[in-house]
Amino acid sequence: MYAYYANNTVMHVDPSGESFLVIGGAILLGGLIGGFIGVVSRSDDETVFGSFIGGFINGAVNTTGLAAALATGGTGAFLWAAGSGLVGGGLGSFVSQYISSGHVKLGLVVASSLYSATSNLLALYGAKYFADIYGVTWGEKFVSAIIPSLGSFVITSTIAFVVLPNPNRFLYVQNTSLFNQTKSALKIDFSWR
Amino acid sequence: MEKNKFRILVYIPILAVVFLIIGAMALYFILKYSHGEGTAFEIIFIIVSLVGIPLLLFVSSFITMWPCVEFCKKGIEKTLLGKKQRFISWEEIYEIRRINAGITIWIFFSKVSLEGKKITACRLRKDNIFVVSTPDVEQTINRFAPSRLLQK
Repeated sequence: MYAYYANNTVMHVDPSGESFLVIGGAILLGGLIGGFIGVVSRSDDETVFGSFIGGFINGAVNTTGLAAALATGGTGAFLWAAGSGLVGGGLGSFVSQYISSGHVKLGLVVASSLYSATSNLLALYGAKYFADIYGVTWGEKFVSAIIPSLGSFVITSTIAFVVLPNPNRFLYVQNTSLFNQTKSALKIDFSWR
Repeated sequence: MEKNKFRILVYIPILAVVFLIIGAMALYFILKYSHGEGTAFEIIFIIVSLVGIPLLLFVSSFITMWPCVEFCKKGIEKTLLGKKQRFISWEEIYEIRRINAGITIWIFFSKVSLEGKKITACRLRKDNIFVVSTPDVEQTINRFAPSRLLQK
């Protein structure tokens, strides 16, 4: 049974608490990457600061959730990936919209949540079944924690740049003169898709 | 006195609470700054995704990961909020199985063989007690477990 741990279980187990500092580093890195992607893919009406903070929050929450998913394992991992995607995507979209315009469109919050949750689920599935990540040392745990998050960013970026425009960009193009439009004119038109 | 009582995995329920608080606060501000716009579907979706799912994560992680596992000479006892949930004596344990979930190693003290079983199936069984591996847990196992289980 102990062959996996090179016959030394004590030396190769998770050092209590300390490895979570490593996970904290991964979360910070995930947030920074998310912020960078938020800025690069921002709409014309989004501020750099708003899109960075929104992207940072989304990236940090996603990475946290994906690390928790890897710690939990099993089917619960997918609930963590989806849940963190929904919370991170929704919160990130809200913050980005609020900082940029002071107004929040619920349709965009929903779109960003779904977007983020789907990316997380695909990334976790890919990481678990194709990358076969299992961290034993601290460095491996760091890599394990960040790989699904990077995968999620890649999926999100691909969707944003290649397949579909960023939902936030779509929103603000519709709402250039947000406060001068009637409520009916502010409704999002998905027919172009 | 050396520690012999451990929570299964303390960080996950705490993280779930943090998600729940963040989600509830986000829900409040989102509804406040959307100025009453949005369809019923959008509002229900946001409530479910920001509060419903984090609440589900908290409840499930609280039940499975917050309980304490205490080791003694007689066996292993699992308690939640001071209430005894399960006790398995060392004589009843067939094997100590370790499953790597990615960034944690889960240790199952099982009355039956868990050979070939996945982690979710192992967790759902009533005939085992599980805990996440740490150096303290490993040393405690080495202190209390019979040699037949350590040699397997």
